[in-house]
Amino acid sequence: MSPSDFKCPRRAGFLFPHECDRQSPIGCTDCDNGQMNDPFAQRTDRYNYTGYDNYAGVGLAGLHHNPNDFTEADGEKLVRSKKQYEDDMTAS
Amino acid sequence: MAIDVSQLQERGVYESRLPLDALLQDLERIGKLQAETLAFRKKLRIGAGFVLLAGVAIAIAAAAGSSNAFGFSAFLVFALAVALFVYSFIYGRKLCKHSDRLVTMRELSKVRRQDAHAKSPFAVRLAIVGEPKLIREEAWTPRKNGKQKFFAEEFLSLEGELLDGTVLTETITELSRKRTYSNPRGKIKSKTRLRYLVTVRFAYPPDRYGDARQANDALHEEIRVPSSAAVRDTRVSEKSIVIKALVKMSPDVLQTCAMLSMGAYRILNLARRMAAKAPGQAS
Repeated sequence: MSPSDFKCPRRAGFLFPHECDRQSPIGCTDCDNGQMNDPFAQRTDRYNYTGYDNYAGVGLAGLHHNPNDFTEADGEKLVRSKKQYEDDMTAS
Repeated sequence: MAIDVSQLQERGVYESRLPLDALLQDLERIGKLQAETLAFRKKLRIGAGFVLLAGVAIAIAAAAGSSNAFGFSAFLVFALAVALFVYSFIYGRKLCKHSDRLVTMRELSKVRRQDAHAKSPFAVRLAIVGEPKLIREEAWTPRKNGKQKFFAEEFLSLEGELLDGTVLTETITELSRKRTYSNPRGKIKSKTRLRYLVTVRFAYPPDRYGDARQANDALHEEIRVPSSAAVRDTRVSEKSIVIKALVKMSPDVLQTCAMLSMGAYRILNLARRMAAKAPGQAS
């Protein structure tokens, strides 16, 4: 597999999970060279927001599934397409 | 993008609309400019010291030789030393006065960069020099001739779109209270207290997050902040989340910004999961 074909399966991000756009896990500080399975949930730099991605114990009125389940909304569908920025002429 | 150095020194304000990577490069350049300015100021002070020593030597020579010319020269050299010393405080004053604000902006940009597209433009305004506006003035009765003035200055604002389509707007306002009074000896004293108002607003896309009010009700969680900060207002609507906090210590401003954002996204991340499974909703 060439480096350009690599697609990182891990979730990245500080506030919300999104796909990782790195070409390789080598040298990645988020997943520590590929050693972390879920860099988004396993971050340790969120001050006293421990368990940031954990919603266990949340009142589930109207929620038809466990809020800790990984959903398709956590993946690439959450992210605005790159093309929109490329078409944006106001960007420098 | 080249920074307009003269405008920066004249107005003490950096304003731009650019991606965060480019902003970080600009901030690095401004940081270097500040370091160079501080180094030059130090050189001016060292130079003033040497000129002062030369003045002393000339004055001694003038006294020994009873020379009026030497005496006049000593006066000129002393004046030059004083001028250099005073100028070292004036030179680049606007650029260097609030170097902590530059650090706050830089660290905040690094935090935001983790959830923003590399090409997403952000509107940025950073006031490096302080221009506080007088908000209120009143008598302060506990002390003789007591008076207090309240000032506000929005010194940092950042607005741009994150990867999920949410528009982030955040501002940091410095609130100052200056009290003046006469002490028992009749001397006029003044004391200044600073506070920082941090406001973050996340205008989220309803197609992804639905109505965040339901998630907020389900979560029922307080926004966490550092010990020197207090949350003043939290508003969750069908379009946006706005949180305000008052911070006592400037080193905690950055942490407060990050924690307010995490508090908002605790709600939004749950809202997204609820919206993803709700019947008839898109993911």
